[in-house]
Amino acid sequence: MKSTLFLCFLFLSIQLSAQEIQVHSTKINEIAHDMQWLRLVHYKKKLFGGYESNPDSPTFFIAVDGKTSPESELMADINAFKSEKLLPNFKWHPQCHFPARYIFIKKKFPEMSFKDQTCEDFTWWKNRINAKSISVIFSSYYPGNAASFFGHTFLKLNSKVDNQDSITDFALDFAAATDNHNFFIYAVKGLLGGYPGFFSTPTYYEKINQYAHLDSRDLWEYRINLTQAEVDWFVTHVWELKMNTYYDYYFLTENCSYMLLEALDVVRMDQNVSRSYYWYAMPIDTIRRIDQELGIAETNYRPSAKSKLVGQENILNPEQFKIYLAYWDDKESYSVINDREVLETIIANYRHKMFVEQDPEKKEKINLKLRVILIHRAKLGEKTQPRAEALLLEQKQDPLQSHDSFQLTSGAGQDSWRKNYFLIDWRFAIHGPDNLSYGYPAFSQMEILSLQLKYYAKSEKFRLDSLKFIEIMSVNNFRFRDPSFSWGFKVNSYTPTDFQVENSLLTRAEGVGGIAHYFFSQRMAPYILFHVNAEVGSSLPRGWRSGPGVEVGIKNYWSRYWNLNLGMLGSYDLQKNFDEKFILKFDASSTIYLVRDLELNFKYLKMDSSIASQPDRDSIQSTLSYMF
Amino acid sequence: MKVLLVLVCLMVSVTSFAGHPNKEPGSDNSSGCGLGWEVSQSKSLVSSWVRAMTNSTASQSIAMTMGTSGCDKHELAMQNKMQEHFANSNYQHVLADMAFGQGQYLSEFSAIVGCDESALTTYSQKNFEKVVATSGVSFLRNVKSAIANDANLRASCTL
Repeated sequence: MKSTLFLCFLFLSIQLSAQEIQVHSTKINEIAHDMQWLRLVHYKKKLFGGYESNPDSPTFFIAVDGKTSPESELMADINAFKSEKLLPNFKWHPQCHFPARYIFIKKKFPEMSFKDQTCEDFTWWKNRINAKSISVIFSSYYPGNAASFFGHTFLKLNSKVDNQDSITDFALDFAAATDNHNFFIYAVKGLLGGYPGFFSTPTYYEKINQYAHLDSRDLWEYRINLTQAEVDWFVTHVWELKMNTYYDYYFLTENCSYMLLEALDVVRMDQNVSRSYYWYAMPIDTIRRIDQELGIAETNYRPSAKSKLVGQENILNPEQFKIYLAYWDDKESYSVINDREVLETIIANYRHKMFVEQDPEKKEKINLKLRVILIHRAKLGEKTQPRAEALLLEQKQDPLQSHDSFQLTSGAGQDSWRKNYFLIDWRFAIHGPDNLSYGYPAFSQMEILSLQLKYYAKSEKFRLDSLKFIEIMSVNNFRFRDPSFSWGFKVNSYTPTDFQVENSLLTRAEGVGGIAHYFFSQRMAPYILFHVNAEVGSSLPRGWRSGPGVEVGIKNYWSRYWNLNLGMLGSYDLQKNFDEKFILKFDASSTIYLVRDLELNFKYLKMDSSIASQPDRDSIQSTLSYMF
Repeated sequence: MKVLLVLVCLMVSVTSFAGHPNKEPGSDNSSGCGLGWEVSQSKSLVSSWVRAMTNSTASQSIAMTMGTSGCDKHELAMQNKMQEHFANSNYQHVLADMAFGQGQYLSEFSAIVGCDESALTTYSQKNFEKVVATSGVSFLRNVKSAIANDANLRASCTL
């Protein structure tokens, strides 16, 4: 009740002082619509006129109607900055809550005599952060957790003058404070903005531990091209965001990546970093945007503990590898090994195992084991040779150089059963089965929403060939030392190519699981996958069908500019009233890089009929895809 | 008009205090976000530092330098807190670097404990068994007692 009265009082006093400076109203009106002001308070134009600010905490605004009125907020801020009084619910003087707004207002209203307050905490914090430059960090794709499948971004506030990389720098992270571990509640709540999102400034080494060690995700550090003045201004504004507000976190729109862009918008007025992100912000695309608008000056790659292990294993010669295989797991003594590289590979393996281990007891066991091996390694003396690091640097694939997310495809083909057709395909995001995988996880797919239409020349008819809702495929390198399985799922509606039901639309859900193994440093991957699927559609005799399948194939990615996928799928129908229970499909697909974001694809499909009266079916197709 | 005013005020007060009771803006509840914020609040920093001092015997040398100006105290408290925080988060990485005779974690750790990097690197690879530990606290203690007991190392460290 007290606070209500306080607020009423505040509201009234703002109204009164608004009248006081009525003379300036045209100027207030003008400055309130200054780009810099609109961005500092994060106003966005509403669809039907007017403004609304994104931050969701009332403490981000001093005026009662500050969330929707740039003028009221400007006026209220001027009065609060002039006054000596503390406002209710505020910890410091308003100047110290909003130091960037204060600088802006002071500059725009030189005729008003403001008295500078000492902002001890803010000054302390800013000196502590001591930012000389800013990097945007991309924590790469993490198939282990659906919420992180598309990567994550945060900022690093570099404190070293010569842009030297330091892990003790602070990071700026925008993340949701989530409470629920049930995936569905998590997803629904997240999509609807049910979690509050906060800016926080952990140390960069904590972020490395979280992403590069625990989650096995490579980190990419892109230093943004900013002047020292721009860096200072940005950090000053970060204080306003960090100390005064939370946001309702929306997984697709107001997510980690988008919020960083919106914060970066204050840096340069002739650039608009967050423009046109009204309905989704894919992390890697937001870094592309930063590159376009502000520029990336330097890229630094920090491999995960798992990548380091892979690099370490790849530099061993066959003899070294033999010793490694004999000792990689749980030996009592390592003192017979005098080869530093072998020892370091064993260490890399134990380190990776320890970081990902969840059970504290097992973790401690590995830690003790590691202690023994490290003591032996130290005894051998000498600096380690950075051969594995060099190999990783040589083989790295910069996600910023990968293809864009949106895709338009057009092409032509020929079916043996419906003859010539043209096709057009639109995809929302992000990486499809035919795309060249440079910068994405090897041999993997993550596709959301794609729509494919075919126009058949002979029948002069359009057909909905496929409407894909989601397709995720994670093809992992299976080794006995590190048994990672391959898995995937897909939900779509499509026109089937098999006999009997070809003129209808079926909706299908499919799950796959199996194993694959990488050869020639991730250039080739033979695989075997087991399929389970269920389909519904009115043309099916019982309205549905279901059955298992087995797929074998080989994926090739020999150069950045070319891939070749060959696969054979045998599937069995559990339905009794079908003539054809067993379908054998063979398909081949190859994609060629033309220029950045332009790919040419060829496909061949053959279906073996088990019905004597039906001829075999085949189809060829060639398409051109443009990504943007 | 009055009614409207009261309504607006009521609405504002409700939105101000409803919502996220445990998550006031400005508080850092996410794990490990503390260092950047806590060190900016001199009061909470000093009190938590005092708490740490009364509970541990590891930081004798820090205690002896108390009594300098308030600002210095602040810097040292931060330095001490940083060492502990860094060691707890990263001792496994620093140890691996020590065994390997080089690395970024070791280089930054050297700076944090105020030692010349090459001196600490040489010492710790040769005397690895003296510093190796299975927790951050004991690791930091081992390194500090090594600095105190080894004349060469002491000469190249400023702490």
